[in-house]
Amino acid sequence: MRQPIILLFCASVVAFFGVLTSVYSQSGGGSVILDARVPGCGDGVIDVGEDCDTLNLNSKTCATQGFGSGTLSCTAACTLNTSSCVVSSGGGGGGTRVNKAQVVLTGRAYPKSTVTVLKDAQVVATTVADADARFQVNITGLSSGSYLFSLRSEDVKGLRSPLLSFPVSVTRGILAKIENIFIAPTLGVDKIEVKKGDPIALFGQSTPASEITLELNSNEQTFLKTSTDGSGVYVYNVDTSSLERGQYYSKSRSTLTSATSPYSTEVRFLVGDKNTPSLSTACPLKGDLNIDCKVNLIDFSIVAFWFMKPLSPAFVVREKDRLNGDGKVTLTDLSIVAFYWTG
Amino acid sequence: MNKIIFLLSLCLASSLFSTPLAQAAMLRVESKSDILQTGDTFTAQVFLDTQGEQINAVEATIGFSQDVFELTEILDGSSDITFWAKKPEAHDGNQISFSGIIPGGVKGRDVELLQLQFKVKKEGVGKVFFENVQTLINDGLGTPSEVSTAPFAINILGQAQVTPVVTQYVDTEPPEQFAPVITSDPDIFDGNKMLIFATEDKGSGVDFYEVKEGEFGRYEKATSPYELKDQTVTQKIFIRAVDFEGNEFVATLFPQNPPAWYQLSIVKTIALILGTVSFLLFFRRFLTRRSS
Repeated sequence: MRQPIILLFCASVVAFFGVLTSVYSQSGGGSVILDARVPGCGDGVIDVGEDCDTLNLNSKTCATQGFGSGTLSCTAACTLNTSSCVVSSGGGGGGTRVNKAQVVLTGRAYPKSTVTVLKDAQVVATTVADADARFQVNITGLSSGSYLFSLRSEDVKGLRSPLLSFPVSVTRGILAKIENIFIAPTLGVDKIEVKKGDPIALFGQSTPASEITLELNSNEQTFLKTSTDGSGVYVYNVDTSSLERGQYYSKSRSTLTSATSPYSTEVRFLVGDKNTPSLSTACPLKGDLNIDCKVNLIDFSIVAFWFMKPLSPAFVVREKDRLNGDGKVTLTDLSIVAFYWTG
Repeated sequence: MNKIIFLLSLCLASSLFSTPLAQAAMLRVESKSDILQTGDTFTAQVFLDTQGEQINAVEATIGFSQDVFELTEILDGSSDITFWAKKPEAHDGNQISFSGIIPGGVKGRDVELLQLQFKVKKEGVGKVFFENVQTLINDGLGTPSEVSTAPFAINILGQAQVTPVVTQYVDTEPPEQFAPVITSDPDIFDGNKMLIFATEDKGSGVDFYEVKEGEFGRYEKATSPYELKDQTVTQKIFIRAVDFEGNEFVATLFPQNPPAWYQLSIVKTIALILGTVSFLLFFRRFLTRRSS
């Protein structure tokens, strides 16, 4: 009689504390914590499909992964994390042998700006450009296949560049390098309406000591040129006395030696009879359905939910404000979300 | 002679079904199989040539000769489409429709949209063609680009000499890691909490998702957005993405509001009672032994 009771007691205590531990141990203090991992991963033993497991790196180092030096670690998904590995200088493109597919992105943004990298439209890495606006980002642990890498940066005033995308096909064991990326300048305007004859300022940020070409479009197309200062900032005060009254659109691009960036996002202003200051906002004008200043999977999901369905009266209001306002959700609205995407 | 007739019929079919316009985005179907015979299986790849435009949204309906071809599989693992508003699905016997976006847009001649695997049922001219195609420019307005199509046509011979090219998929990797989020929207599910998730599989493509609420819950097929059954979010949530080869990746969300001890589920409550009862039994026996 005694032994069964002891056994029952022990089993129950183990079960009881096991249950309590499973419920409470990883509750994260009231916030949602993501712990995405491959089953079997995290036990310190390298199983099939795992490159590493916790501290067990399977005798791998940064050097064996095709880097010059640095510290190799293991991700929660049991893939090797080479983010702290350093690529040897003098690489120059092509194929360094690595265990999983990796992509190294290098280029220019704005001095000390945050560069965000998206892999298939989801943020995978951020880095800060140096004082010369140069940046380098390593994306590791990729499966073989085709990816769309997109980059954007944010200037000192919080203005964002448009996404710059690169379709890249990667193969396991090959280090792919995308070099000389030139992120488009930012562009802002100090008034949404300017009184004819008053100046209006077009401003933004790019690489230091680069030439900025501002394209001014209305009935005619005008090109204006200026340069960035040592911190990459540029300002061009447009004299509106020679401009016709009407709506104007402007975009800019940057040139440094022989490299030219893509165009910035477009700004609009009206030459009229009064001055109306621009409400500076870093939030996307469209596509942000949940008003969190980001356009990402959540906004896409909301739009996709209503795709080709009759809209509720409440959503009609949001569709008018945040999408194209035609009272229905079609491919056009999805295209607007894709354009304003921030990740 | 047979070869000449075959080539002539191929040219005729191609001229009938391929009339691309200059300077317009173009959808085309390609296959590495030049000659097919009854019973063969082949892969048709659907590509977009953006013709210098930055395209961020595509939708189309693809039709095929139902009497000649049997659709065996739709593969989107290698697609450049990032998010599907309407995942490619077969309908009405001989049609496949899809709508999707590429955030930030893409420019290129070989933007892959999807792959279709067909089995050849009988001799004749087999065609894969487009209907209702729309491609939109990445300009913030959703402006449609001009679009043309170049379909695929092939004369199926009874006695071909060449083995057809079939892409063999050996996918041993699970779908990519992903980070599901819990959110709510006043206009969806009456404002209830919902789960949003998406991932990709670069091999065979994601087949389906399943969601399990709680350690002892059961996995159920799910699509994003998914209305949570437990609106208090007091349990772990598991989201399983499974590819067409059965490889899976499980993402886990931990509870926002872990339950108080008195809110535990039946199983947990039973464990608690059992633990308490056995402790009391053990303690009582211990006391009895000491007193005796």
